[in-house]
Amino acid sequence: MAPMGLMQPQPLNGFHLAGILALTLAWLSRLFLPTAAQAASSPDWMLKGYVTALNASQPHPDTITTHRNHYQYQ
Amino acid sequence: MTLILPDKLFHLDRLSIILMALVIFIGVCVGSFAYRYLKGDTQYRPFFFRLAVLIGSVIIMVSADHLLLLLIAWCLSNGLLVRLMIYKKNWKAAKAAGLLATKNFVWGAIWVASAFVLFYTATGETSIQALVHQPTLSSTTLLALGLLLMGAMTQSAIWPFHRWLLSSLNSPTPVSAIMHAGLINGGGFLLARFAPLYLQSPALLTVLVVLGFCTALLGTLWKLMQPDVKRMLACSTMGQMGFMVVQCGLGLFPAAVAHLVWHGLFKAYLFLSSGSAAQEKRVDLRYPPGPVAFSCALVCGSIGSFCFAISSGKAWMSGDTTLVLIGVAFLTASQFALPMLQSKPLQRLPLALIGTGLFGLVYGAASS
Repeated sequence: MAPMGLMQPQPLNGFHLAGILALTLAWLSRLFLPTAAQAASSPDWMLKGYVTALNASQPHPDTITTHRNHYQYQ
Repeated sequence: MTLILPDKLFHLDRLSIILMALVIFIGVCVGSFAYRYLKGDTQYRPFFFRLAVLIGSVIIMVSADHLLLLLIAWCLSNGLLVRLMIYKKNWKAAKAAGLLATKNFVWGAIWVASAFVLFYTATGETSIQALVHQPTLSSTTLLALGLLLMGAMTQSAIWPFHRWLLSSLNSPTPVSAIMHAGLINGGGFLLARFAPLYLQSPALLTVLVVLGFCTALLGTLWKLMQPDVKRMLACSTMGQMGFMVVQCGLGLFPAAVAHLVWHGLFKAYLFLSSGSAAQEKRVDLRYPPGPVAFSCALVCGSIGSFCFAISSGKAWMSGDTTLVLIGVAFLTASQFALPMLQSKPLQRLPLALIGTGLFGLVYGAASS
């Protein structure tokens, strides 16, 4: 796609650096922080954060098939 | 390499050819999977008819040069996607998911249509090619670009417009595959099509970077929490779309298009093989890695990002936004090497170096 001239890097700013720093920290924490199964106990703020994130990532309740009798294969 | 077709309705360039090839290839893969997967289903023939029309409408969308034609193809392909998602009208959950997606796509279409009206008002042009080569941005054009960005966000499930995607998983697997590998890329296509205008507005590019990073981090974090494979894949798509938008915001649109293509291919494969997830071998990654293995992985990351820079024609240590992309290539190559180095890291270092070097070369060549 080089002839289209769409590769035009921009000057770096604080948002770019914050973004790459956040990605790096996320990667390092995944590697080095103990998982819930490994840790003896997790602090309350972490448990609350986990539940909040889990709830935020769920599908809309009406789109979950809880009763298979509504989901006939015909 | 451009071809202007009669009546100036279509414009074939490398962007449209790449995306046409992608959607046709994915369509053939999904169709050959569904040929057996849906056999005996009452919706068997209508499914293939709708899939063929959907692929046709996406081809028109990516090759359109007229604003109205692009808008019609955009709405038609989203309408067909919703019909495929609902699949059977007596499936209540699928119907609710279709309704949610419809609301999202209607808002997206309104914003895209408003943007096109503003473009026409400001420039008097209906040709996209004439429009994107305007030398300066007026305040009306800037507003139109903002609205177009909103339309792209709804299509590519960028936070906070992600709910429809996470709720769409009760569609049949072939529909999920064409959705995650094909239609979700519409937002990225729209940004790349109007890239010459976005490149004139550093403020909008920064907005893209911020929204993209938020979506990439949220989608990837949520992916790690999901209990079933299709939800994991949906969150992964959200994260990947976020990173694609980041690349647009960095002013590196060809890298974003390469990301769309790679993501489309591997996500279609992952969805079509999701039924076999229970039989996959589980690899114990043995985190945290030891200091020797981690150091070796960082060396491999440096080599991988260096090869990526060479093959994509970028400077390895530049003072512009290329540095962010090189940084991500470094993290990716390091993570790529880590499983190889978890045991006997020093003995396996040469193999890992060759692997990450090739990985960087191939990915870089595709991103140039």
